[in-house]
Amino acid sequence: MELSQSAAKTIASETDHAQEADTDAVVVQRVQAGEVAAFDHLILKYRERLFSIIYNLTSNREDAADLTQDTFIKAFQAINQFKGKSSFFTWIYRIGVNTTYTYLRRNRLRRFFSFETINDELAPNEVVELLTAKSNLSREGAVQELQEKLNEALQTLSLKHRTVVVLFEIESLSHQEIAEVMKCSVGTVRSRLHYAKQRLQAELQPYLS
Amino acid sequence: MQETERSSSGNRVTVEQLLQVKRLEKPGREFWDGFERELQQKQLQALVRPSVWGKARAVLLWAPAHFGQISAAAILSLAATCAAVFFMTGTDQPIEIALSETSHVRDDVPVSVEEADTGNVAEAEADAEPLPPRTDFVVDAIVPDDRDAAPASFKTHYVVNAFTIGAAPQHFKADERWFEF
Repeated sequence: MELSQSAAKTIASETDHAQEADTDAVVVQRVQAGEVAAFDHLILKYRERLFSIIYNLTSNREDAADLTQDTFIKAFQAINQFKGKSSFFTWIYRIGVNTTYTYLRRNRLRRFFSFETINDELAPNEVVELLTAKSNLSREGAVQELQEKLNEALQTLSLKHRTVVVLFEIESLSHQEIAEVMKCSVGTVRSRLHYAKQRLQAELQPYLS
Repeated sequence: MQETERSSSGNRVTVEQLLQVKRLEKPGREFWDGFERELQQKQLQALVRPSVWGKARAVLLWAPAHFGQISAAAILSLAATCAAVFFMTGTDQPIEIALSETSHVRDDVPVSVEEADTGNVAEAEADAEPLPPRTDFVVDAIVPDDRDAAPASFKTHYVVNAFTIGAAPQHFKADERWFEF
């Protein structure tokens, strides 16, 4: 039952992305034809998703903002090189991920975490209620503690493992889409995801038991 | 993997459920207003300063198309340099050869105006030919009176700081032919 629900969710997600890709292709053609203002439409559409990916890779709000802006600028400068072989969102996600990789590799020693705030009222009740019950913290305190622990746990993963977890669990991309973004096989995505979840389970054990 | 995908109905929280909390980490409206402003500034900067690859590509694409012009420009600049050397030295020989072969250049002649002025090389001056006044140094450096013969104080004229007034530089040695390029 759960497996069929998961499969159905993946199929629905892929269908939505396919429709999205068609819409984006039209806008990209307009930009390539010289209507540069049309690129703003793509920025508005993808900025939150792109920021979310980069933020979850870096765990730094300010760096994520800079890297997201750099990604859009690179994408705009290279827009004429986009041939439509992949969807636009796959292409721009790839630029964002590679830009983030380059930044993180150059700044290995300089790692400051700067988290986004969580609206604890929107936090999943099941999870927060359980956490609050286990600790002496308030609901808000439990959410903040969980947020810090999650970011720390993600940072223990390698860049590639962290990326597959972020794209699959947080951004809800399919294995195929992740493979296109990361330019690897679907099998590689699955194995990285499996390993990453095992590592996270070990790191987050106090919150799981 | 099955263990991590177990539902939380049995009072267990899964890794997936925890990770979904991260979907709630979203910036507010003010953040996006600032984001748009900064992005516009960066876009304008990108227009003014093309990328390194853009510049390299422009040169690589431009160079073959203008190979003839580049070659002609290179030849002309080389010819201009040789002509300038010729008219400045009054000889058709390169500077360094003229300096090394000339017989009238004397190591005991003070090689800087500072040394001549301070008198620290009075001993060296005892056997040296009398030097022209300072103004002659300046004139000789710019337009030699006799272009066919190297001036007596030829060495002096190639000292960069020869026209400054002050003590002789401590590091400077009289026999140092540092003006040879």
